[in-house]
Amino acid sequence: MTEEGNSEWRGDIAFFGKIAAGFSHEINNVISGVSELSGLLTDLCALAERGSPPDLARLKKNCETISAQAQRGVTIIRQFNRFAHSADEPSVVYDPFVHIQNLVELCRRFADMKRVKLGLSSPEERCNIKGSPFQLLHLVFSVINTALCTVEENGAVTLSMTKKEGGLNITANISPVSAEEGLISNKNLLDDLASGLEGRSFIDYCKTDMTASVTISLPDSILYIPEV
Amino acid sequence: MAGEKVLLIDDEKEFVTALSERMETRGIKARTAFNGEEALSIARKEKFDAVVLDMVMPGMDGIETLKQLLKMNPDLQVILLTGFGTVQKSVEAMKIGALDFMEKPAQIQQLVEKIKEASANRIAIVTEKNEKLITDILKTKGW
Repeated sequence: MTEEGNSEWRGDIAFFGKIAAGFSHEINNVISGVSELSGLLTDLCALAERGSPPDLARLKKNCETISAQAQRGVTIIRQFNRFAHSADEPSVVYDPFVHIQNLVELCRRFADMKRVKLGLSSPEERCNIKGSPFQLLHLVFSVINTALCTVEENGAVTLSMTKKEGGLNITANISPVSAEEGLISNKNLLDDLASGLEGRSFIDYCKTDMTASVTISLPDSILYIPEV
Repeated sequence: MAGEKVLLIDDEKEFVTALSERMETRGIKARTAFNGEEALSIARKEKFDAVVLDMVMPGMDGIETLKQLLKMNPDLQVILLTGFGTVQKSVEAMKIGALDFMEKPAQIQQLVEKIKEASANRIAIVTEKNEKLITDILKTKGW
């Protein structure tokens, strides 16, 4: 493997590791919750055995909370599984919105830690593209990470996807901006990741007084047009 | 000793609410806070035998909350709850002045034992301080 290839591989592994670490932390929170809630049920049963009449409303509420936690766990596992499969094939035809939506859900924890609202608006027009979903997600994650380093606490990072003549734009709007250095320090990384995608992809930066945006510009050669 | 009073700090509301109910069934009076700021506000008004603090929370994290709590009350006995990959942070927290740390999910009996240990520690510290204060007064006043 070349030095460049080795560096790319390490970057990919680091990205996968960050998502996996966030996932395992979330799942541990779910298990900790279920563990305490089931422990509480055991305590209530023990109290009932000693003659304290069971509070049915309390028991019902507890069971409902356990069920909600289990559902939360299933959702997190499904999201992570979908993400893990994004690395299956080096090149496939896929809907980028589906993968980015899943990534945003996996990244919500990172945003919550910074008390930032992370969102994704629905595109006016959906499309399919060709290439590696994992490579695109690596770039989108790096953009989200950059945005989270740049946005003020209690601010918002909103992603959007726009199909345009000549390709597809994926934009992260950052509002309000607190640390412009975040944009500057990550610029080389984002540019490198963009140049690694198929076609002539590039990153566009825009900054006003209070807001900023980072746009991934994917060329039309990446768009998949089915043969009729 | 029964009747310890503990402050539980964690952003996972279902977890911390269930934990507080389990503490209550074991004779421990528990107060809950869902973030660092709320915990500081409660700790300003009330005294606790021990604090159980989650390391990873939105906004003010466990380390910062610990620093602020100890600044407010250096004798406070803090037990940390850690997730995966926060061992290094736990060591940092111990250096700052936390009493102990446990990995989540924690066994309730072990946690209760640590709370009792923390409570005993606090009493010993307060007693020692009071004894020193009395000795100092006796020395300076020359009674």
